[in-house]
Amino acid sequence: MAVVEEKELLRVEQLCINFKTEDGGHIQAVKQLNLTIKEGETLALVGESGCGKSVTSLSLMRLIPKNAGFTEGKIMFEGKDLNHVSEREMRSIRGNSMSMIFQEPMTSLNPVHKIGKQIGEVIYLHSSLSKSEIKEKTIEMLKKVGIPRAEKIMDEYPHQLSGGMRQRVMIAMAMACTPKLLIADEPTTALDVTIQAQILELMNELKQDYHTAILLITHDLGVVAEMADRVMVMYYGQIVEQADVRTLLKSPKHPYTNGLLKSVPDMDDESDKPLVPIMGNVPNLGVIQAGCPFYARCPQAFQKCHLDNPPLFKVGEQAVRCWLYESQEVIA
Amino acid sequence: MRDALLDVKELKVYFPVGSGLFRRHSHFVKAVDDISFQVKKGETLGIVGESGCGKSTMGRSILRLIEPTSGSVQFKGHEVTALTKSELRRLRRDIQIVFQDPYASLNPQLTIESILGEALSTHQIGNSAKERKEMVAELLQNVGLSPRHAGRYPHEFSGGQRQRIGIARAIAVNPALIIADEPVSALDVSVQAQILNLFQHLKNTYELTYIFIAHDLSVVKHVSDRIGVMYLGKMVELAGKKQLFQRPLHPYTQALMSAIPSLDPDVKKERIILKGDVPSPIAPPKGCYFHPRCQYRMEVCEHLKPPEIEVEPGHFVSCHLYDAKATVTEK
Repeated sequence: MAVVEEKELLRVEQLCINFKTEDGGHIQAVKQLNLTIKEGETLALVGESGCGKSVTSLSLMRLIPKNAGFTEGKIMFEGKDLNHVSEREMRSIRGNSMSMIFQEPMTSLNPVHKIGKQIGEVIYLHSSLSKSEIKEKTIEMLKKVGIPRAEKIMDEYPHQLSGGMRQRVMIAMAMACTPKLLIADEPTTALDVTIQAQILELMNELKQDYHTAILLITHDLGVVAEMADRVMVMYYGQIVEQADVRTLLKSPKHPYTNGLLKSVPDMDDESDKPLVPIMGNVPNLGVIQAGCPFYARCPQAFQKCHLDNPPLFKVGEQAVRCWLYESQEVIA
Repeated sequence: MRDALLDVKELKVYFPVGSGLFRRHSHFVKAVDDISFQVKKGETLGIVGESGCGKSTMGRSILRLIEPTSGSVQFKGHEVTALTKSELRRLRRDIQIVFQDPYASLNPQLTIESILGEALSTHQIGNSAKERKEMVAELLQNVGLSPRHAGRYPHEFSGGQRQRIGIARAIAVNPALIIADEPVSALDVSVQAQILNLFQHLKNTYELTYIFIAHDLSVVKHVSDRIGVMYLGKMVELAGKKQLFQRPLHPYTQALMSAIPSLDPDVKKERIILKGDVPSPIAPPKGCYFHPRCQYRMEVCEHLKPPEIEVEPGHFVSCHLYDAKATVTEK
């Protein structure tokens, strides 16, 4: 099969996200992060709570309030540096060529507006369609995301729908202007597994139909295996490992990735052997420490890990932030 | 099963919805609808189901934290539903519960020592404050914390550590049975594994019996000996872990298993995607509750509730597909 080299859609260079603290200082939630997404590709950003995966996605949309924090670095989207476009231009990008769905659809839908109005608003803002055309398009989108009796749902409020239905509405809204990039922040975490299966299938279908790139943010490695082309594992605001999905799940190199995979009970495993958890807890971002942030929890840590934070090393096609691979070439 | 520690028969918990004239309740949510099962001493019974299936209500009604509407719950041969208030307190020493949210289930104004000490003094365990203090230190050690944590408050701990405290409180009174209601679903993956291992370790140390309630089938599979699958207040399938996973019989169990994403990217699962959502428990469908979403739906399913059939020894399923194997007719 000939692989056509896809065009690069998003390139993030040296992204740092800092939040101000009460005592006038700041903490760094994301540290020198680089990532690229090609058109039509699904990149998964994986990590546990507080690792910086959600703020990364918010910063791509420039949704982090200016008074809360400040970001540094370059975010190139379709050739434009998003940190230097006007707010007006940013608004035309959001929802149009880049859109987002969130974990909890109830809190991200407006409870006092009808479903039809909320989806119609997106189309109204980003197109010059007439009122009746907008309505037609809205119904078409609702049908596209598998909502039965779409005409009636138009006139219902978010609270009248189930969690799975609400997430479908969110997806319909996000896909209404056929964005180039869809950012999905834990899109199925609040849903039951049978509903999760429906939503994941829907996202894959839409991706095929519209050739949309997806930045998938999740803590669930099963969802990653299902959806992603490439994976980046985050820990303490840094990328610790990066690889294509097969390589990452089959031969994880970073002790943290390895630990995560061993912590999940395997459905296909018949033996009752105990899980191998990662010791300790996810570190608090406020605590500044020298050395590798995973040092204290790492079963393979040695002297050097305590002193210096490792750079990313190139191990085959993978990138790994770990001193175990010190002999390899440094990427960043 | 003669050596049953807990014997639940035809348990029902109905909640009235709205009220008509003279407070006559016209509708009920049948949160737990006619469930029977037994738990043997030393085993772990896993209960799995999606949100709203009644699994938590069932767990709580065993302890009478929610009063059952009807049915019988026998613990060590005593009828729980007939106990007086003081007898109930004694029962709650034997059956303890661990909740999902360790943030919400610990009093933020008490130190860990007082939280655990309270459990001990309520049940008159330990003769003096000094003795209790020693017991608290030992408990903390047994759940993987340090005795020097005793003077701290809940907010000073991480989620995983708080769940350890919740577990320490449960085992403090030496219970025979622990009902764990989604004990790991609020935790990060790496911490979740620690807590699951702790449950396993304590089971061996204290000779505990568990009812382990969770929505995550892979977690339930990991800890359980037998597993019950619930759907809309009903137990649709109950079997030994091996039986259930090698040969899931109920179409809902099959769909639930196929819905879980595999960690192996090379495994392309034959996925059964269920249509629609779980129906509202206020107005459940006629006949089999699962029939509107079932891919093997037959005509009989629309009218008649399926009986519980023991397809092979210890493997119960409520589904008309297995009617031919029924030795018992409609219950």
